[in-house]
Amino acid sequence: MTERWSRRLGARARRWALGRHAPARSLTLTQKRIFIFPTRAGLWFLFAALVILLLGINYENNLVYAVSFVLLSLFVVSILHTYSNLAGLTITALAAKPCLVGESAEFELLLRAGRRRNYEALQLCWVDQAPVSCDLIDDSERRVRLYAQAVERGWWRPGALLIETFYPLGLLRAWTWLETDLQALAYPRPLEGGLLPPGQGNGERGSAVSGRGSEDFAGLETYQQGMSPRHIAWKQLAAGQGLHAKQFVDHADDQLWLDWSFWPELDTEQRLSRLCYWTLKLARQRVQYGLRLPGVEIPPGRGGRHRHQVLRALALHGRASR
Amino acid sequence: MKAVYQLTRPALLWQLLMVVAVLLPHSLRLPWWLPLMTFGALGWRLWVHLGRTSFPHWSVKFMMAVTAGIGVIMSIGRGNGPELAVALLFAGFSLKLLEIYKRRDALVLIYVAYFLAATELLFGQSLLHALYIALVLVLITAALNSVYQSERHPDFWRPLRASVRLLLPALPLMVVLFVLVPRIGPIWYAPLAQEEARTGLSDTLSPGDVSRLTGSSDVAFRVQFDNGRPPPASSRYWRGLTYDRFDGRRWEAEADRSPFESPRSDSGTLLRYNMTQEPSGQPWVYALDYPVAAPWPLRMQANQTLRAPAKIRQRMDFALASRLSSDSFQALTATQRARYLALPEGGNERTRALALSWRAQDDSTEALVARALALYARAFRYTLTPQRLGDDSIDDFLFDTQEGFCGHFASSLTFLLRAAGVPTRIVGGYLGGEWNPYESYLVVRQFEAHAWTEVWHQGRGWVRVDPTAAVAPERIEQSAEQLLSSQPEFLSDTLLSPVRFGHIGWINTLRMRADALNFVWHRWVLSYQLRQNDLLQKLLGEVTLWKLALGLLIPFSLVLGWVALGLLRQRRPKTKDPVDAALLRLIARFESRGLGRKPGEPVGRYAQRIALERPDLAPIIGTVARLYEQLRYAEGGEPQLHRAYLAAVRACVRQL
Amino acid sequence: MQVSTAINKQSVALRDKVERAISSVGTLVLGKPSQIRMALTCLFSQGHLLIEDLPGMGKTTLAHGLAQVLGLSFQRVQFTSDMLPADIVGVSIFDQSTSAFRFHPGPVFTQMLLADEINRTTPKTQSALLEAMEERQVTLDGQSHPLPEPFFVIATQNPNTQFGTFPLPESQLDRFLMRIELGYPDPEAERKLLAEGHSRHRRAPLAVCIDQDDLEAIRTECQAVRVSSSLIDYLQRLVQYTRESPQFAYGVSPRGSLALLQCARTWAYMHGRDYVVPEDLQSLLEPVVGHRLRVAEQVGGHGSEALIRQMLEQVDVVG
Repeated sequence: MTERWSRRLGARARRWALGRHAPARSLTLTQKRIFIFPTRAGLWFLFAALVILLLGINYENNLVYAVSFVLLSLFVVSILHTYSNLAGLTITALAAKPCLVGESAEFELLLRAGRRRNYEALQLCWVDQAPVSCDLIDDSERRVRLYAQAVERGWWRPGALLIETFYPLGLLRAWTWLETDLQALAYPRPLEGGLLPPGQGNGERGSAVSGRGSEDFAGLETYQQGMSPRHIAWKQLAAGQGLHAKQFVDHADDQLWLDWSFWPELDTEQRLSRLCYWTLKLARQRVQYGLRLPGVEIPPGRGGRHRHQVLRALALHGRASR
Repeated sequence: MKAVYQLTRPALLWQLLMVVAVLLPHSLRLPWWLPLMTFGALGWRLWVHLGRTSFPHWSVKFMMAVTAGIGVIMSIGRGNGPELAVALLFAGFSLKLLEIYKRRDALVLIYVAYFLAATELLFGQSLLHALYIALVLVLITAALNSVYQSERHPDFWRPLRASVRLLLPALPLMVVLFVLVPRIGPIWYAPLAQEEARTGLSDTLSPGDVSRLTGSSDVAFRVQFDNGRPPPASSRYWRGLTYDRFDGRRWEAEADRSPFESPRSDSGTLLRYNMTQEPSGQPWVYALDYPVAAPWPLRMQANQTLRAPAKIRQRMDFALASRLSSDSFQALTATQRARYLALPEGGNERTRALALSWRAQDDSTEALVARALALYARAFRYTLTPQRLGDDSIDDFLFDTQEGFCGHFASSLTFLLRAAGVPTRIVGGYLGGEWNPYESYLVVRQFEAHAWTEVWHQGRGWVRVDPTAAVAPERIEQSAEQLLSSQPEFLSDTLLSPVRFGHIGWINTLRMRADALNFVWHRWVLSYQLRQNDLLQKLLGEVTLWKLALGLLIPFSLVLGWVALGLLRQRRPKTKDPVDAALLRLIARFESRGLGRKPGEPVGRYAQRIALERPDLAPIIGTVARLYEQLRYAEGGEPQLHRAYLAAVRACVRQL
Repeated sequence: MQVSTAINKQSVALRDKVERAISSVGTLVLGKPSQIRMALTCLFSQGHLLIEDLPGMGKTTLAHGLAQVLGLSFQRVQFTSDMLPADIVGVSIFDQSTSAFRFHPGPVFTQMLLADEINRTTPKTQSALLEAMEERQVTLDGQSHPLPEPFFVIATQNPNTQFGTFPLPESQLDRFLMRIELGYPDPEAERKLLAEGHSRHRRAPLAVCIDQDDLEAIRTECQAVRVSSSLIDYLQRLVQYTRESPQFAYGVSPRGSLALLQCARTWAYMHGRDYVVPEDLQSLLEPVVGHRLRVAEQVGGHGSEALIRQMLEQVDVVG
């Protein structure tokens, strides 16, 4: 009952709090943002103090009165302590890592103690997501990673961020809602299936060497400290020709194109999902691939950066780019 | 979605520590097996924590709960409500130990611990008790904090620090509440059983009883006089009850329901005082001879003694008034006369014969009394260890043994006079008292118990006659302690009583101080409700709701403001040495004028900026910066450099 | 007393020489006295200097000038993409007449080497040079050939944004004690430069101001500059900041903080002090530490200079 009530109150406070402040990259918590209310445990604590007071009244026992007053005073003092366990905290939105739709994106926040104080047992969470607890004890800053599930491809925001604390006695809950300007990129949800059209990836090999790689044997070189032992040319070593390492190269025209027109039977979202699937697959196979979408062409390439570029194009197809 | 919380190791340890602390004082009062069960549960829980065993099955717990409940009810009995409640609570508390896995379980345990700590104070209210409970509150609060402390940084000592930090500011708030919150009477009556065997006078007196009390140095009562001075030692007779009926061996107090008629004239000065009586398990209230009126709810009886409506089971306070001399002439009714002349049918024939022979010579009351006292003075000896008396105890005492103490003298005199036809009664009470100069009160102890007689004089009423004075006048003039300390029986119950060492100066001082503290503790804390009105009136003038609210609000906001300041204030960086400290003081002065130093600004550059803003200070601030640099970075450790620097800082502050 | 006065006289004379050297180079590189001072600090601290700027800002001129006033043998290598390590360190050639390998030393065997546009050559060649810088010797076919003493490298580099370059990896940037930028000259200096025109090139070489004995003496004196524990505290706070702040991908290494302290000593010496003050660290932080830090990816839009400035504002000087 209390919980529902406080949740409803919290939701209202959230709307109100968020309505009053624009999203920001970094902000410091002040009394304008911090809400504080007794928890259910706090109400039980007050009840216990009341029962003890009744005991004191009934037996005219001034020491029992005193115990009851101590508990009441403790409650009052802990209001300040709970409040100050949030006050002055600076939250900076650092970065959001991209994710696939349906997966959880990682958001990185930086908490910084405004003053040389400790913040203990803070809980952070996006609306309706699992909380993450964190402390700033003898520590002026801390990075926190939060996760939230992506629902739709493209840029998205995880919603409001809740920061709450029950410290030190759990009698009160101090909390704040804030809207960060963090946005994560959600790649389309991979859709398995389909085949790449024939003729792809069958270019003649061996002409242009695109650099040191792992695919084809290209020759021997003198072994130097730090080279992978797997590349040691044992045969030559056995023949007494000294320590050599095998050199491998990749071939530049081992290239594939992922094209918008491959699967005409699928609708837009499905096509993007299918392309996403193939992108991930090709990236794992370490081949070079490029992407052609209406209005976008990314030349073949390889590596994390390239993959991100391709997936980003897929995620933002037909969407505003921020 | 809530994270499932498991107790951390420090949290669990704090719970266990808290349980032990709460249990300890209760354990003496509870049935012996209950603390044992708690320690068993404690051990089990610890064992579970160490991973050696698992939590008991619910059926085991259920069985244990039922057994414990029945056991408690059987061993305490249903008559003692509060004890039973506490014991049951305790049983549940112990069993709950086997159930703390989660935060909520721990919370139940902690809240009950608060309650149990408070109930302990129902059974004992000494200063030591209170201090112990204060310590227990610190531990419980630490346990509560430990439940909420970060799981990532569990630490055993941090909760204790947090607890102290929370409770210290709560203390003044508690005092404010304590002083201001109005006390109301009990809502329902639930008596607490107390140990009945209290030392003190009983309602029967057989010669020898009083000597039982001389073995004890327990406090009987304390008295604070309104004029701040005690009455002279010879008139410190504290009247408690009269023993009227004799059955041959024992004197008994017999209630006389007829009311007391107040004296007709107001001669003698009125002494007002506050009587703080220790629990005696008896209804009578001691008053300085002679009390003039009975404040509510006391009642003055016909024999001019005060009686409370119920037995005195806890320390109580009464505001009384007495006169040192009495002319309370009151006609004796026929029943009263008969009562004060009554003697058993037979026995003690020699005494009766003596009385009749005296009466035959001179039957005036004065002459009879004088003869008796002369007899005592001639042949009797005062001792705390008299020989045993036979069946005719009065005869044996008067003619054979001729040694004894106040009880012997009072009862033999009363018998003699009654046999001679003079209405006489024994008064039981205390004689003497020790003055405590630190809090200006008189403390009367059990070994000062005394019995004396009152003789009816036609036309004068009851007159005090103390036969002990005829034998051992020093008993009246000196303190009982001085007289009795030579007697082997004296304080035999309390071998290590500080009173025994009264002749050693510092021990005596310490004892007096401790007693004074105890007295103040009782007056201002334990029976505060009696003094609240006066105090509030003194503090606030006329007490109104508005003033009470203000009185509550102002100290509260002061304390809270102080706490908030401590919590939210920007802490200055800690300085290691006077050089930095002086600099920071100087910078603070500038800061208040809007010329603060930025953190990353070296002192030299800061000084240049100041010099630009305040050209008048340019030379001195330049000197300060140069000397600072020398001291700090060139590590010029010469004392004169140090002095020059501090002087420059001072000069700069002055010029500012 | 006599002795110490003598030493004082000597050190005053030395400082005069340093000042003269600075103003002398200043006639060549106009309007950059602080950069010249910085470069000399680097050389006095026995470190190598990286000058990073756009082409045509006077990097080469500065190196030339420094070599002249210090009286050092000077070699210049223009790095290109087709350069091989042997082109720098030298090569062993089989001598038919003696039927033995003979070592032909490369241009690196000089006292001052100007490695121009070091980021134009391949990492292999770069690392050959950097190895020589670090070891102060060249090892070829199991034979060590020590480089002359003193040995300075002034490398120049175009900022990475330029096309067709191989930026130095962090691990190799660490080999340079300092990295400075020259920047555009101020209008007055540029005007003077334009007015002098081609006559500048025909100028006689600069006179040697500091000979090798002086150099040795300066180095000894720099070592004697005092560093108080308060200063070490401040240095540690700075270093700690870079290691803890999320704005940096990683913090300053112990080698970096040692370098900073070494440079601060020299800097203090060059400013006529025998103790280091926080201002010294502050002035040197960007040139000494800037290239050893990497800005964290998420803090886009800020160069390390801005972050270092911010750090200098935030880290308290007074402990």
